[in-house]
Amino acid sequence: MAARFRINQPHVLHETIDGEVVIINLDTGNYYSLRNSGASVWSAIEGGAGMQEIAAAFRRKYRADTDALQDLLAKFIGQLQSEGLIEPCDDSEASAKLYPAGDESAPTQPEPFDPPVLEKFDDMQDLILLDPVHEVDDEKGWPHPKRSGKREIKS
Amino acid sequence: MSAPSLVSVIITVYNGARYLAAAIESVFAQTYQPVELVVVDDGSDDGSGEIARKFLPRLHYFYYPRGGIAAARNRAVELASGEFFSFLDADDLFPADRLERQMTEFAHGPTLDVVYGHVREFVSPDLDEAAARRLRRPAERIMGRLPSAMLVRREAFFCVGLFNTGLKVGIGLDWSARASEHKLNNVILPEIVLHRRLHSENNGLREVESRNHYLRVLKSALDRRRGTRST
Repeated sequence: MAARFRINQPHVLHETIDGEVVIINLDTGNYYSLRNSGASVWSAIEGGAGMQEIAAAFRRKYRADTDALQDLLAKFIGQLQSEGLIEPCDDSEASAKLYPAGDESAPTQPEPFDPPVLEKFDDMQDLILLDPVHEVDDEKGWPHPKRSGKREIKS
Repeated sequence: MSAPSLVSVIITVYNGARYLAAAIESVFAQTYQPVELVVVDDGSDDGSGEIARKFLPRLHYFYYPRGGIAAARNRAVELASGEFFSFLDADDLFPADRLERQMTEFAHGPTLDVVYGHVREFVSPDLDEAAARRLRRPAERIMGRLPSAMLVRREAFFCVGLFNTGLKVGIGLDWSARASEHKLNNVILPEIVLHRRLHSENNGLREVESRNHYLRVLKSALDRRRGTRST
C-alpha cells in the first residue's frame, strides 16, 4: 500500500458537518459517511498525513493492540481507495500543511479504539449523476464523469 | 366514466429566454389532455416574461421578484389547480407522449402516488463545437427520480411538502430524498419522459459556490434517517 494519499478531487466533494464527514463520488453517484475515528482519518489524509503518521497518532490516542490497529487502518484506507475517494500520491505532492507528528489533541489517557467505518449509500445515484453539478468548469477543471453514453440503469 | 384529471405542468424560469418557448411548446404538444400550464417568472430581466406572455391565454403567467427555484416552484404549486403536478425546467423538453404514459400508469394503479421515468440528455444544438466539448457526455438513458421527470398526485406532493427554499442547488435531490423517506408508492417507467438540455448555463454550473449544498442535503437526509434531527 502507498504511504501517502490525497483526496480524489475534483471527482469527490466532501465536507465535515457536525463532526460527520459527508463525501460524494461524482463519478459513481455514491455517497458516504464517516464518523468518529473514520472522520479523524479523513481529516488527517486531507491534512497530508501519511499512513505511518496516522497510525502513530492513533497509537497515542487509542488503547489498542498496535498490529490490530495498523491492520484496521490499512483496511479502511484500502476501502477509501477502492471506492475512488482517495488516491496515492508522492510525498512531494502532499499538502504543505503536514499532519502534526505529535498529535497535540491526544488525551493523556488513551481511549478505547473504535474502528473506522465507511458507510456507503447508493440510493441517490441517479439524482447525483443527473445533476448539472458535473458540468465542466473551465477554471476549476470540473470532471467529465466516467459515464458511457450507453449506460443503462434498469428500473 | 369520469372526466380525465387535470394535470398542472409547472415551469419556473429565471432568465431562460433562449429556451423557454421550446419548453412551453413541448407542453402544448402533449397528447394527454387536459393540461394546465403555470409559468412562474422568478424575476427574469432577459425577456423571458415577454416570451411567456405571447402564449396567453393558453398558460397562466405569474411574475415575482427573484426568490430562487424552490420559492418559485412553491408559489406555482399554490397557484396550480390540477389533481396532478409535473415540473419542467425552462431549458428542458417533454416528449409529446410523456403525460399520456404517466397518466396511463396512474389509471392502472389507483394507489400510486408518483410516476417517474427515464431521462435522455442532449447537447443544446445552438452550442458551437468548443462550447459543446466543455460539457460532459450526454446520457442516452438514465433513471430520473428528479422533479422534472415525475408526475405526482397533488395530495402526495403536499404530504412530502414544499421545496426547500434554503437551498440553491440540490433542491430536487432534497425533495426526492424526502419523498423516498415518506415511502410514496411509486413506479419508474422504462420510457424517456424528459429530454434534458445540456448547455453552458445549467443551474448547477451557475451556482458554483453552492456546490457544498449537496453535501448538506445528504447530511440532513442521513440525520433524518437516523432520527437524530428533523431538518
